[in-house]
Amino acid sequence: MAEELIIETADVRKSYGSVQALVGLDLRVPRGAVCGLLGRNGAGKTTTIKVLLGMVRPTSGTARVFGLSAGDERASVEIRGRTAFVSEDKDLYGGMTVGELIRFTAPFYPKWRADLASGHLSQLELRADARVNDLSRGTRTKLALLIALSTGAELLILDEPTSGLDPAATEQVLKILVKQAGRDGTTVLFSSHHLADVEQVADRIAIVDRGRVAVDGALDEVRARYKRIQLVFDGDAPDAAFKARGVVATRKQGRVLSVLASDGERGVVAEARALQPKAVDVLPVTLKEIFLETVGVEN
Amino acid sequence: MLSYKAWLDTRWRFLLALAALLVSACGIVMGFTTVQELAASLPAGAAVADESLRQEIEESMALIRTFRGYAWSQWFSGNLPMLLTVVAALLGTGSPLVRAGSGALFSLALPVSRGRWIGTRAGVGLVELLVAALASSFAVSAVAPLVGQQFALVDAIVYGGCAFVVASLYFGLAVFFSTVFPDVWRPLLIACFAGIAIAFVGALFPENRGLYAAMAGYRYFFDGALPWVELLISAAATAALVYAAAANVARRDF
Repeated sequence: MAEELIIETADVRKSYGSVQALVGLDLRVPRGAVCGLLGRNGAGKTTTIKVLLGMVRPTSGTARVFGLSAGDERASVEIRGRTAFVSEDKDLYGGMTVGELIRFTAPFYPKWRADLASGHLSQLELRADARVNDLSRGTRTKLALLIALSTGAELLILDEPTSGLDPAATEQVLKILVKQAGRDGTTVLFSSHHLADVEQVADRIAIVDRGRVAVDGALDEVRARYKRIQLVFDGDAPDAAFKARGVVATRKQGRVLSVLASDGERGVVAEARALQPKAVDVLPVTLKEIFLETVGVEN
Repeated sequence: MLSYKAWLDTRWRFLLALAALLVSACGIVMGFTTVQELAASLPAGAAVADESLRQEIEESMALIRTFRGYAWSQWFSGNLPMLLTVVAALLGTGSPLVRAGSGALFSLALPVSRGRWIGTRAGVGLVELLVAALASSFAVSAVAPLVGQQFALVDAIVYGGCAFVVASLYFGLAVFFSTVFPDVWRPLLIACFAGIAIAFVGALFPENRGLYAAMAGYRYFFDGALPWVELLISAAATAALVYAAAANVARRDF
């Protein structure tokens, strides 16, 4: 049976004047997945999230959440009733206290979990009488996450959820997130610049580059698919253009020619043998390498 | 809950505005005795060469000889329209979805339509404006006995009501421009300038016509009639502006 998709976008495009924020974005997140959305600044991560929540209307293409059209005002209200969101800047109601904000938010969500809210309040060391404006950025982040985790939502969309948190708080928050997602089967889509965070909690990744999804899939599959083939020559490595499928990047450095392949190593290795290298090594790659090569940054 | 949020956002503005209106209304009532003493000390039939100016002075003097005329000329057609214009503009500024640093994304992520956000905010603002207009008008009736006078509560309600309905137009302008500009200053200034412009344009109409005269309850004071046309125009314009604000927010990206 085909897996149920909670998020499904097809050829979503969004332009702001002459700036193209999304250029045919195709994203699929199945139910129960914890999906890390990776990308450089300005790659289109936040725009993607805003399209899903109905805050930004795509210029063309379709975005569906729970099978509902995100661009339709009425459907969007229903989507947001089943989705919790933490924004990048954690912009909350500064004039309220922590307790007031929790009490304000609870009635909007029919499945609100008061037990989780009070549990997270003490676990995250938040004071109910503290004014939101007086909270540090890290504490505001914790509050935003507390609210999101207490909504009883089927989908959590988190934009840079650990920004502003110290390493200990990051660890604590990620553990809570994983525990809750595992227990309740909540689908999570979170954007992050911290690859270590993504590797720690995500079971799927989507790398967004220049407004489109460049890499998408289960994290283990992506890791298994990507290989670095390293060729060592006696003299300077030759200039080589590989014709094999899935060559992401080729890099020459002295006697070494390094090829990143996204579709297994066989085709590249066969082609590489023809260059008569001294040695051919097939190496596993880290998520960081995949990310950097995908977005075109020299590692 | 949305109403509670709207109240939290505007409560200090509302309370300060209400305090200013009450102080001003009570101050005018309490000054009645002093004004009467001053008027009595003035020589009758002052020598003013300009006939129209002399007539104007005489009309003004005639108005302040009774408490009804004094309260109307000084408060209901004087300070109240001016202050209520500013209060309306003040209460209408700061859209909950557009104003920077106001938790706009948090609001947008809640399962609430944008139209409901704007509608609730406008509704709460209008209630606050009504309370401000009526409370300051009631204050005239309530404080009048302290200077040995009476002011009919029904009259206070009518004047306060007229002022409220026309002021709601400036409120609507502020609500609309708050969905265009992310700051509070531009909508506030535009609404206030509109108030000034309408007062100037009102000078071109016969005395008992125009929005400013309607806001002051001019026809009710002299003829006992209500300015229905102006009140309906104001109410319709307010509804159109709030609708336009909601439509503007509904179509924009955040």
